[in-house]
Amino acid sequence: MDQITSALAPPRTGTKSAVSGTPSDAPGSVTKRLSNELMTLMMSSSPGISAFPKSDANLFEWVGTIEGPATTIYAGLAFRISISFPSNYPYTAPTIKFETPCYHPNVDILGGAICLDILQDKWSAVYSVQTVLLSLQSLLGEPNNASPLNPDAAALWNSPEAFKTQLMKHYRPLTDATA
Amino acid sequence: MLGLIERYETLIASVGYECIEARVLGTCAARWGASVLGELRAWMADRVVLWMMLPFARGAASVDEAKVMMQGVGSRYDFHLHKTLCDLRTQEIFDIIVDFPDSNAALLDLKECLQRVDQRAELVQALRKFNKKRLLHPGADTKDILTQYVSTIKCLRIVDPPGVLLFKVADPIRRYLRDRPDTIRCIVASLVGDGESGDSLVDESEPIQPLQQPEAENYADPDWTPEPNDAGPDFRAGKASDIVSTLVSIYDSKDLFVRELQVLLAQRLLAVRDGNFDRERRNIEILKIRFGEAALQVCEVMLRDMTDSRRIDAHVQSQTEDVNVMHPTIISRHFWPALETSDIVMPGQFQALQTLYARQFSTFKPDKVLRWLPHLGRVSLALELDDRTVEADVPPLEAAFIELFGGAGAGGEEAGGGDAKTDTDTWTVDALIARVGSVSRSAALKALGTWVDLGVLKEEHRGGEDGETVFRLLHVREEGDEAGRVHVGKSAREAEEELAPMMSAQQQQAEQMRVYWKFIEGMLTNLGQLPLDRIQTMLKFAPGYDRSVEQLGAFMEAARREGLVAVRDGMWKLGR
Repeated sequence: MDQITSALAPPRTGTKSAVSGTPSDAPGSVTKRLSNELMTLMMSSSPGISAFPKSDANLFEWVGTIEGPATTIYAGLAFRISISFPSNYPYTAPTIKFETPCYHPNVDILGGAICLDILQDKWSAVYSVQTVLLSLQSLLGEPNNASPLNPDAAALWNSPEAFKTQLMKHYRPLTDATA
Repeated sequence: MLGLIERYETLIASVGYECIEARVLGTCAARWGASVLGELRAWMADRVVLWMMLPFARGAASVDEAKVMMQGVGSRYDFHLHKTLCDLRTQEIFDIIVDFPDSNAALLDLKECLQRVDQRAELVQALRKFNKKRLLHPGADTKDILTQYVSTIKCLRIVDPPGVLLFKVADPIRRYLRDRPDTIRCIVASLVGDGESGDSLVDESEPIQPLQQPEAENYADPDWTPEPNDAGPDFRAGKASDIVSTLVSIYDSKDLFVRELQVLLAQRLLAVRDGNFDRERRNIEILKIRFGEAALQVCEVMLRDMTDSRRIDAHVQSQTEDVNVMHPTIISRHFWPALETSDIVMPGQFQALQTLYARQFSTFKPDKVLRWLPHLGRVSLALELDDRTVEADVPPLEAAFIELFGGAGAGGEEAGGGDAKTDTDTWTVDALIARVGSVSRSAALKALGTWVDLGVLKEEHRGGEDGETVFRLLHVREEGDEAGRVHVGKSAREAEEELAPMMSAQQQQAEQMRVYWKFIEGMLTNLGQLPLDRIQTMLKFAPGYDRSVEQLGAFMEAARREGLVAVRDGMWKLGR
């Protein structure tokens, strides 16, 4: 996998400007890349993260699941997210949103939008679904309180009791309803 | 004649019928070697007609007149003769097919009867019944079923050239064969003419030709004929296709065959010791004609590996003298079926040889890496003991063990790691396993048994209380171990047979299923519960997924029994 991604990706510095100029690949190669990522993700069995295409007709819309890391305040909770890949993926970052309300300094509690640098200006084609999911999982335990999307949560972060109360007030456990 | 003839005509007729039946059953039952129809007709003309003259042609003035008078009853009798013979042969059809080709004449008779008497449906029904009762049950060997199937094909083609009967009879057999796990193996084995099985399914005289694909009917063909009127809706007008095409068409794709063929070829190539691959090459060439060049490319690579490794070996040997006792077979991993791996670590001199050889190899082929499969192969060694020399040709595990024993007396120059203090003459099984790496206890005991049989080791119980078993090297032959020698050849052979190095196609399938399970797990984690058909369509994301929804259902059912998934109202979810 490493070889594939590094072959696809230009060097990290200055990628943005260099790549945005190139015309987007044929859709075939994007699907191929997504299939490869799915295969890697399925076979990697990283604990607590998982994702799968929403339907067999569209490889560009995925559903993911992130479990809170064991030692954090999110331990034991599972969050559903939606991942939507742009047609020129991997040159542009996928759009990722929390579907389960997540009370977190860097997550918009209403819309589910996430403030994470690698999903915005620091995106690079070497990232994959797997690395993004892992980043999100670690973001749960280590928020970036300097640029909060949810200022209340950021303010409460240092008082775990109160934070947990707010978190549980918003949290809804996953159901088995077919997505 | 008092008008009695009219009154008793039915009685007279039935006497005639019974007479014919008795004659047919009495003379023709179980006589399939010669045509009986002509014989029966002659008998009819000689005896029955004479007898019939009396009641039916009494007043006839001339022969011609008699003929006219007897025409009606005569044809009834003739019909009855054919019908009786037809019934008899229908009842015997299974055994007739078993006896084929000796029963050829009986089949021709049957064909003629069937033209007179419309009993084709009865024949099909009877044969299907017999097949179900006598052939398609767990007690029958797959090879026998295949042989009978092939005979059935040949026999019914004689009786009914268009193949309608065959199609109807063959369907249950084909379906049954498809469910047998070893069918492909059997077919492939007979395709390459497995030596010991003797009679090959495939007729040697049959010309080798490419597999025939069912083709669309060509209505522009001036010789086109419509399907026979008793053909079923899914009847495929099988052009008289050859037996092999018919057998291969049991399965939907020939890929399965090619895969099994590779496994078989791999086993046979690795079993060849004298470096003579002509037989395999010939087989592959034959199969190439049948399956096409492209399908057998992998087999071609495998064959080339064998010749290449001899070439490489010759080169390595010319570079260094030190490894001249080792001749590895170098195979390309990607082109061979998955070989069973093993973590045996060869001790002492074997290890040294491997390292040396690998170094030579990497200078010869710098872009390739040699990975040893030390558990495959044979070791010929000579053990120099105090009073005798034992020569043996054994599997590697045996060699590894005896090397460990070698500290003092056996042939190894640098055995046992040079630790003089440990007693290298006696070892426990566990200690041996620990040195060699992962081998099962039974395999280890079997390997030790070989040496015990050869009178090199002796099994002893040390200490009374824990009953620990140790094996001791016999530097000097002990009395009473002669008896053990008798079994030598046998146990060594058995040990070898036990090691079927290839993963069967079935095991490979299980391996694939493990990949698919990961995908199923992934989709159920993220999409919640799903119906079976949805899982099936989603699995197309998994590379190479080709299972039917029934197979998936069986797999999910197995997973449910393991407690991995749960199902309610047809919706599957992870069983957490």
